[in-house]
Amino acid sequence: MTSTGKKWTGRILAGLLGVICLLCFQGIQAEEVEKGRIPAEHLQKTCKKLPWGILVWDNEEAIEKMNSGTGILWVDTRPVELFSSGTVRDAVCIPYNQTGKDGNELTQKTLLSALTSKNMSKDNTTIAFFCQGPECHRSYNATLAAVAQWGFAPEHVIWFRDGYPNLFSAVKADTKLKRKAKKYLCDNAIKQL
Amino acid sequence: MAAPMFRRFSINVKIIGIFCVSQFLMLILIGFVLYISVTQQKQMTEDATVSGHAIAMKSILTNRDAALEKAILSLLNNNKLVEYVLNRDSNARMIIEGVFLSLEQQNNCCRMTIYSKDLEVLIQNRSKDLPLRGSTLPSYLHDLFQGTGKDFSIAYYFRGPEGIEPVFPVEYCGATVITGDDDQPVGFVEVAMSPSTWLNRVSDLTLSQAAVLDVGKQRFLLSTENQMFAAIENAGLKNSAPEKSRISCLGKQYYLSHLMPLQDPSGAMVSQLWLTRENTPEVKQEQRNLILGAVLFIVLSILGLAGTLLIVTLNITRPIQTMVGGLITDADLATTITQQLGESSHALAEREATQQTAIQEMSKVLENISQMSGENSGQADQACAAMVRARAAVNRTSEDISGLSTAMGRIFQASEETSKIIKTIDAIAFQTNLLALNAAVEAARAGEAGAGFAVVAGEVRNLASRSAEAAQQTARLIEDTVHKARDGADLVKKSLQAFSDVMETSSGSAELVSRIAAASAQQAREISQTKDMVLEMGQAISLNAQNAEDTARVVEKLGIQFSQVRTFTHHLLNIISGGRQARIK
Repeated sequence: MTSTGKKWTGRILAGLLGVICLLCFQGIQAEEVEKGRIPAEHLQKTCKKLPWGILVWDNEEAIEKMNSGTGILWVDTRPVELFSSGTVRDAVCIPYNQTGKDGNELTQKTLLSALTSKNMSKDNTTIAFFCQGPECHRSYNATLAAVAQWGFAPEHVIWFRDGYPNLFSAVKADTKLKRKAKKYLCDNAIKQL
Repeated sequence: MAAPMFRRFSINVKIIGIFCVSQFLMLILIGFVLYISVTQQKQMTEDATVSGHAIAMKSILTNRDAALEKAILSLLNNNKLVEYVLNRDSNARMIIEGVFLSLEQQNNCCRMTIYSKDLEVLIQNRSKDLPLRGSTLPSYLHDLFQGTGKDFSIAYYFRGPEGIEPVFPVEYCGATVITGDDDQPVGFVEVAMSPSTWLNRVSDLTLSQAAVLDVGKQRFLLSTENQMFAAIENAGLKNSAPEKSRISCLGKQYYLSHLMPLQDPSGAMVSQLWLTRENTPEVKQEQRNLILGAVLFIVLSILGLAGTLLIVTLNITRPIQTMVGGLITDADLATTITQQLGESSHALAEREATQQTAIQEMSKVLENISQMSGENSGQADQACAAMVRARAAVNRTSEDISGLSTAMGRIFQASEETSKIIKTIDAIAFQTNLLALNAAVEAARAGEAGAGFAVVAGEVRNLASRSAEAAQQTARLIEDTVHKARDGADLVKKSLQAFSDVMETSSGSAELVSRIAAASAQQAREISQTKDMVLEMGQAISLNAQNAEDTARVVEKLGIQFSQVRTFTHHLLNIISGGRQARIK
């Protein structure tokens, strides 16, 4: 009995230590992200999931999903000027400021109202956040905030890591995609092809 | 015929002629080289211009490609396009035609054609001034269209009039496949760009006026400068198709046109792009350069000719004339000297022949002398031998006389011994006489008994007296003999002295004779050597004579050569001064 009790005590202590480490790591991570540095492993192509199991899409996955179906809310976290010069087809523009000092337009409320405006439900809609690309922190922070702060289910939240400019370049470079650009890009963007 | 004619001219005339001919040839050469270089330069300029035009055209077409792509993409990204192609929906058609209207206004598109999957025309919208094309796609475009279905690309090409009236200008088109959601071809779309747009841009970029030509009817369909191209057209465009460039003269103006073929995908020339600009100043400049060059060349030629003549006259002709005059005089003098030399050589040869005869005779005489000297030498040898023999005889005689002298001494000695014997006999006779006297005294005392003894004693006394007398006589005889023998010995001594003198004399004579013999032999040898030398002299004289003859022959040849030199010099004078002048001189 004594040995079993000791074993369990050890396990609990190890678990607590792990949790503490994880929390510390996350704190460091959040701090780093706020300062403008996305962890390098999350920028690698092989990284397909963020913490809490948030999926990461690159161009290929994004185009595949755009081809195959609906039920995706594309959230452009960039400023309005960039959004209006070209964005993903049917995307909504809710800018997310990376430091949060200027006040964020993207909040739980605005996100929910965007879903409502598109006649989409929080439960069966995939929300994909995107911005200028992997080095831009807006969508990354927004993705983590949606799960960690606003209570969106991690399986319904996507970080579209490549961002709009990369998507536009990929479509422009591919003759086959270019002729179906209306599926991926907004009308303004199509004019720029 | 030509050569004697040519010889009549002086060297100056010949030089002028050669100069003119060379100048003419040089003119041709320079002209040829200039023509080649100018042609090459023109060709290079033209190539550069053509390549510049091609680059300009390419950049414009790239730009047009982008515009066409945008137009096509805007059609392709319209949902109604696929819907119309699949369902022939009239609303969808209206929307598509609306899109074309916006393309016509914004992108300068002049024609939009939608084809079915089987390349049948479904919609054909065009600008108002353009005629309709046929209801099917021409066969030469089929492959091109089908190709776009494989790689989803857009094909860009020129499309010609295709025999449709009224003729429309060549169109720059872009075409691609229309695909459904499953990426399968459902139709094709073709958008054409109005030629006026790219024509203006070509004109701007190439700094020329641009026009497109209907190659079939040889007239301009569209241009940026109608008046000019109408004038060029009126001046005539026949057979201009294969040219790359062309200069048109309109009044006093010159226009340079570069012609660029516009080909459809099958490679057929559907039209020709004319890029024309005025180049009157260049042509005028070229003409001025040509005239200036010709004048400059003539002036330089004349100056060159005058300079050459001056230089040739001062530095070549005159010195050569002077030298030729001196050469002729020298040649004459040399001919005279050669003749004299020839005569002298002949005389020398003759004299040498005479000398040779004399030498031969002298040689014979010397031979005789040599022979005689040899004989003298032999005789002297013989005399020497005789002298030797005489000397031996004298020696023998001297020895005999010496023997005689010895014999005489012995006789003298024997005579003295005989004299001593005689004296002994005389003493004996005296003794005997005394004894006879004693015997007679004794006989006298003995009286008659003694009387017979007294007679014998008397006889013995007689005999002793006769012996004494005979001994005295003998002593006188012997004394006389000794005396005579002494005289004989003196004579023998004298003879011996005389013979020794004779021996000395004869030995001196023998030595003299032997010297004479040696001298004779020496003389004979020297005479023989002299003879050899004379013979050598004879040979040398013979060689001299032969050489003199050779010299005479050489001198004759030299004379011939000198006469030839004289002839050549006269020819040279003819060449320099011309036949006429030479004759005058």
